[in-house]
Amino acid sequence: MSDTRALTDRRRRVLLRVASVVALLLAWYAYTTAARTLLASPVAVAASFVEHFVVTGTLRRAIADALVHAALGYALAVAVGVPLGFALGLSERLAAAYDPAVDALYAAPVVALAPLFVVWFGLTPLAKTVLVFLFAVFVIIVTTETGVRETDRGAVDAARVFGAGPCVVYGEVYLRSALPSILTGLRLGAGRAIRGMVAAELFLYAGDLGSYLIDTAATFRMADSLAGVLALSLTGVVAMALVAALGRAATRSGS
Amino acid sequence: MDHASEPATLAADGSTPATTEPMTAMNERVRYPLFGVGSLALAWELLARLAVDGLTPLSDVLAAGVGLVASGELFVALAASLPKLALGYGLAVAVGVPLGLLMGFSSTADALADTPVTTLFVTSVASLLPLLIAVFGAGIGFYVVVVFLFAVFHVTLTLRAGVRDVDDALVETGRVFGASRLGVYRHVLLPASLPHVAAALRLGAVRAVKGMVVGELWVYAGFGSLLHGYQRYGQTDSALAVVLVLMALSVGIAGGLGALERRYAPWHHVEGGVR
Repeated sequence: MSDTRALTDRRRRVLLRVASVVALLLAWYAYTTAARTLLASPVAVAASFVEHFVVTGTLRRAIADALVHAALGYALAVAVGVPLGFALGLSERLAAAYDPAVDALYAAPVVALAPLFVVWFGLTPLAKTVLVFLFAVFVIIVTTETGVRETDRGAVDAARVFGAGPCVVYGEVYLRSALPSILTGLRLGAGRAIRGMVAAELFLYAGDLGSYLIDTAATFRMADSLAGVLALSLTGVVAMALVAALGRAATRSGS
Repeated sequence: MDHASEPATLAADGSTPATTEPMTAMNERVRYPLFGVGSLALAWELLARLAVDGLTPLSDVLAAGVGLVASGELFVALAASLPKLALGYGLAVAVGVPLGLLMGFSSTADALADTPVTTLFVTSVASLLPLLIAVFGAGIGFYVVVVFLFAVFHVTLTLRAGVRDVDDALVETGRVFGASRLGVYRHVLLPASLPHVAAALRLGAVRAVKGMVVGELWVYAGFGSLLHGYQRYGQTDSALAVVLVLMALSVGIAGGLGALERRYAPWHHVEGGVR
């Protein structure tokens, strides 16, 4: 009885979801055909996406090139962020001392550093990597810290009583308890890294991706420009889904 | 801060437990952060003076910051930037708060709005900059749209997640005690949601400042023109001073909102944005 009700409820929600998307696309299409506007129609955007991402592959290659810096910066952010978050989560004093600084840096507009990076690193891939690193690292620190701090101290004490060494206590008890929160951080960090990659392309120096975004918009090729934006959104979604899937696989093999 | 005066009177009575407890609270809230920031500042200064060549020492940055204030450059930039920030943020709040509440309370509204809102949430607003400038030009409309887009989806989705978290048991209790449907909204759901509104506003403010900076950097206006100018002449001290000011602006607005929250919604604090 309640099963069938839950089913129809879910079906209703899926229907609403599909209906809203279809209605929005139709409204968008109707607007672009009826009014004289710069905005490209959804059909034109989709066609441009297929052309540049699939057929000729210019957009795909541009994003793949930019992803190299993003991946490097992200890897660095994970390598630094997780241990730092662990330390802050384990020690209340450390957290009391450095939480405000971490929060302030987390809230700071990192892009403002881009002009400085040009002075420090020149127009080099290193500048892009460091910018991506700063975009991603703080969310990883904060989520790891939260996960470690919320570890059940009873489980830790129990492990110690049964003679567990530091390897087991930190590597098993704390890590396993904090893992869901850490994985959230890694997923959000991947999304931030993609945003950092875009910022690096636009505010440091333009590779193929930055040039694509700037040139298409400057020449009012709105459909091509929006296709680029769409491709970047999808890249972000795929990156986050990939990290989440890797995390699930790691959790399963670990337990 | 009522209990700030409390320990003094209790201490006069010679009640030791009451005095030691606020002391540790004071340690937590003032001394430890002071030590944390102080140690980072010292590390910066030493690194710059002794090890890293290109890094400007913090003392030089602070001196440049004083110069920035004295010359009035900072106030010119602030006067140009704050109205854009306020307009865009105000718009984001005006749209994001009702939308987030609606999506949190009603599963129908959620099913309707979820796909577009989430799609726009994951879209990098920066990647829209070249397009937005082509459409809006470099007028105030451009900044307002950028700030709005940076903030609105974070406000909406933070609030939705928070409102969904409101304990069902609270609602049931309200019903059991005879509250009407409207009464449950008015006396249970709304007060329980208010801390989440506060958290969403804090996060939104932080995002809005980021949007303002991104927009100004793109157009070389306000803080953006300051930063680009310092870059051109290699004045890293002044550029870093501007970065510190922007960080302070972001933390300051979020902190101010936090203070308002403690005043008007002190029953429950939700972490998020800036703690």
